[in-house]
Amino acid sequence: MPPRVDWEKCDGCKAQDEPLCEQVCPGNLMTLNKDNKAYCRPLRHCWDCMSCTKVCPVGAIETRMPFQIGYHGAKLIPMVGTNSITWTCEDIYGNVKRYRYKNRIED
Amino acid sequence: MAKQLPKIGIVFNDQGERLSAALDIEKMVAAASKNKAVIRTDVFTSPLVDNFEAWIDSSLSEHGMDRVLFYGGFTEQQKNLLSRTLQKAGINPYMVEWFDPLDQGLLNNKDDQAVRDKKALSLLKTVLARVKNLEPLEPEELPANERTLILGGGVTGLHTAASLVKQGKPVTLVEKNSGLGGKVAQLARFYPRMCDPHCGLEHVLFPVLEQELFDLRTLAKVEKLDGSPGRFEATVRHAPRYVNEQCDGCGKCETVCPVDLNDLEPLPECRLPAEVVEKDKTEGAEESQAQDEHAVSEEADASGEHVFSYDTPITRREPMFTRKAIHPSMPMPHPVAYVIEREHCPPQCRECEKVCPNNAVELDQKEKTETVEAGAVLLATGWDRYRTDKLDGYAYGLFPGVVDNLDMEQLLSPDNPHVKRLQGISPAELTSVGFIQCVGSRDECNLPYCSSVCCTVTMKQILELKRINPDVQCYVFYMDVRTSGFDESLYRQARESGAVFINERPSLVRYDESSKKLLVDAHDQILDRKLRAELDLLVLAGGMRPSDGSIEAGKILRMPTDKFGFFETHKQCYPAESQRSGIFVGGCAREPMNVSQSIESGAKAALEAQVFLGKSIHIEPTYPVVNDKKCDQCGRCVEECPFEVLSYNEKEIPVPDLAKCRQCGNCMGICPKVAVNLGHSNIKQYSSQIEVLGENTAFLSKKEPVILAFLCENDAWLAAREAQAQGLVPQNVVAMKVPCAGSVNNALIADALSIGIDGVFVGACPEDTCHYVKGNKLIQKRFDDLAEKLKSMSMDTERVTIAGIGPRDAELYVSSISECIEKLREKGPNPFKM
Repeated sequence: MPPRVDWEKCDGCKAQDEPLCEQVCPGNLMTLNKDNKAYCRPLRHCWDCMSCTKVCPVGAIETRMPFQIGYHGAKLIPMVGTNSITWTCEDIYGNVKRYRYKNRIED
Repeated sequence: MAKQLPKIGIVFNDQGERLSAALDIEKMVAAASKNKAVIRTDVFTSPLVDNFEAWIDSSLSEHGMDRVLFYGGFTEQQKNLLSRTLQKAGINPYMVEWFDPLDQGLLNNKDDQAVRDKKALSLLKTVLARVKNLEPLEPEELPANERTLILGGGVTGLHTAASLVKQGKPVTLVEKNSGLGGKVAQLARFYPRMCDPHCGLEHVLFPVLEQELFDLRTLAKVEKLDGSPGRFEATVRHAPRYVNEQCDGCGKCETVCPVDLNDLEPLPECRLPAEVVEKDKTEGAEESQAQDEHAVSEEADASGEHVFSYDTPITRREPMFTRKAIHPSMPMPHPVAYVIEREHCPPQCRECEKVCPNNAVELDQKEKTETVEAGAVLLATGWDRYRTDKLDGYAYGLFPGVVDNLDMEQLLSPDNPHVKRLQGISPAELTSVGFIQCVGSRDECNLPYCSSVCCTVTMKQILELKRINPDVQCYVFYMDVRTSGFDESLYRQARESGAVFINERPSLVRYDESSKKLLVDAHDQILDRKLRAELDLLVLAGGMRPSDGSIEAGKILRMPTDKFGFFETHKQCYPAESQRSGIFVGGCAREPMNVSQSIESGAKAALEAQVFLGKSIHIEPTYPVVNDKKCDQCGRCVEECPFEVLSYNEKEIPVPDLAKCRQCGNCMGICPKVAVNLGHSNIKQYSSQIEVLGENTAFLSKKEPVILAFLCENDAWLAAREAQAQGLVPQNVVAMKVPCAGSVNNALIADALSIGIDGVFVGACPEDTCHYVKGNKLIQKRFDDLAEKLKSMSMDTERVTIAGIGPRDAELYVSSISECIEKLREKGPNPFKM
């Protein structure tokens, strides 16, 4: 399921040529509309890699779960630290699991 | 390059048994020695200075120590001495860390010693993580230029230029008019000594004019400013004067000139084309001309705030003076050369050229531009009068005899041979004169502020009128008389001279055709009586607004202004520093002020500018560095930097202009890719500490929350220190000092929360007091985003708290922290806690 952008929060990365989600998307799917808000162009091409969700500096992007993984109401939320990433999974019954991974990016 | 293990020497300062009385030092020494990076640990009980050099020598020669951690309380003097000794021995000053256990509440004997000992061990590990990541840094020297560029040749600019030249510093003074002097040269008298302003101005000007260091450019304006502090490059546009330097001011041309211009025609000045001023704006120009009926039109911009805009002043009053189209420089005849108002010349007329004995007239001169290099820029662009004709009831321009206070100064001025007085008002013939105070000032619909000088100016004008004609009757209609300080004596003199003060501001002025008198009706609140004044002349004490030149210069230099258009500065702490480094503000371009205040403000600005005017600019190495491998060029730092320091280099990577940078670290806090690092407080240093702290939170029982507090070193940190010194802060808090709350990156907070620290507290400055303009606002915005994210993660948003804390708000700090702890106790431990 494609990323959903909260246009209230999205500031189009301050109207730069390419917002972060556009730069990071491996399928080059994200772009800005004429109001400088990000959106995903061909929705069905999205791979759910969640790169855009992770990178969004204002937390405006949410990736909704494909139904094969979790029905409506299930959530998978990343939070990016300096050298780690934290995942929060919530199923439709409200059970929460959390994982923290260190990533390997060094300076 | 293989990473070498750092070699840390630790010094415990246990003078007066301050440490050992509160903590188990032996345990700490043992724990520290276990750390592989620590090469030696010593406890000093006697004054350090005596045997410190020997300690360094042995640490360097035997262990190859490369960094030092000082543990304990040190005075600034001791710190200074120790770091100098270390520097002599070859240890970079940025390879030294000071840890005061007092800041973390470790010396607070009221709390359980077992907890404190455990916390001390955790924090020792934490600070060692930072020490391991210290990097040697060297300060930089940037090229500088000794020249100051001053915009505005009024009293502020002139005095400042003169002081600088006296100090042997070169100055370029750019003045839009043909002559120097600005508004002050148009006054009749200075208060309080009631002398002639021309005398005061010339006394300053004459010694400077001959100096080589003084570069005067009249009929000129800055149309572009490139470069950065220390090496500004200004493009100066010169309007043609049509008279060259050969002119000796003999005045023959003036006698043959056929053109008479009245004083409603503006004086000749350099005018910039609209496209130069409004680079980004092309459509707005016409709109703003259309709405000329309100001098201050209050538009609501996107953010809902009122924005004041002033349109060009059009005076509808009767002309009072005339001049020729060729005349001496105005307002003061310096420089000596005449000026021609070419747009008023009749076609083909070359009379002045024919008659000039020095061949000084060049009617074909063209506009030209030049580049001026300067180290610093001083804005002294001054004020203009507020349009009193906007207050319809006072009929400025409709009835003869209604003038504003600047017109009045011209009426009272001695006759200028080059400016002919038209028939009409002569001060000696006046029998009754009225003054209405606060015309347009202190008025919600016009200027809401007090222009601060108009009351005293009225007193001055009354005294001057009484001097010319002791029988003249003066009436002053006022709301409050604000003659502050010693100006009160002028007020007293005016009262004693017989002027009548009526405590009401009339709403209407009428004109009696038959008696040719102005009629003002008022209800005196003190006498509770109606009265009518029949006046020959009515003076409207209009206020000050930023001059058109100020507004234009603000647009060209991209200066932040307040909503009235005055240049924004940090009024209490740095009144002369604008929010653009290297650009300073003096005089009425900053706020309404009188002559002496203007001169002083200019001097303050010049003094502050000295930093950029030496042979070179010294830059501390704590500036931000952008990691170009990580940077995604999103441009957020460029957009949000409070001082517009960053710009893109040839690889499209943002780079800070070091001379402009104030090293607040907001770029580090903003960067979504954590690619910006401040020297000596980089992300790695913080994140490594957070990681170690997260693994060592067991100093409290499981139920007790551990809170990481990021505290702004200007405000909240000082409050926290005070609170700790009083022993008021619970042991749940671990404090971390940051250069500005805005330098805290969300990734660091995410780090802390995801590793199991129960709560994060950010101590920012109270609203509107941030020394870096908006650091606290920027972090607040990011904080809100983070709180939303926490909500979506089904975490408690109470885990993150932000509070505005001033430097002396120790109690507020304690209460906010306690509240935070209380909430977290309710919510239970962080779900990520191991």
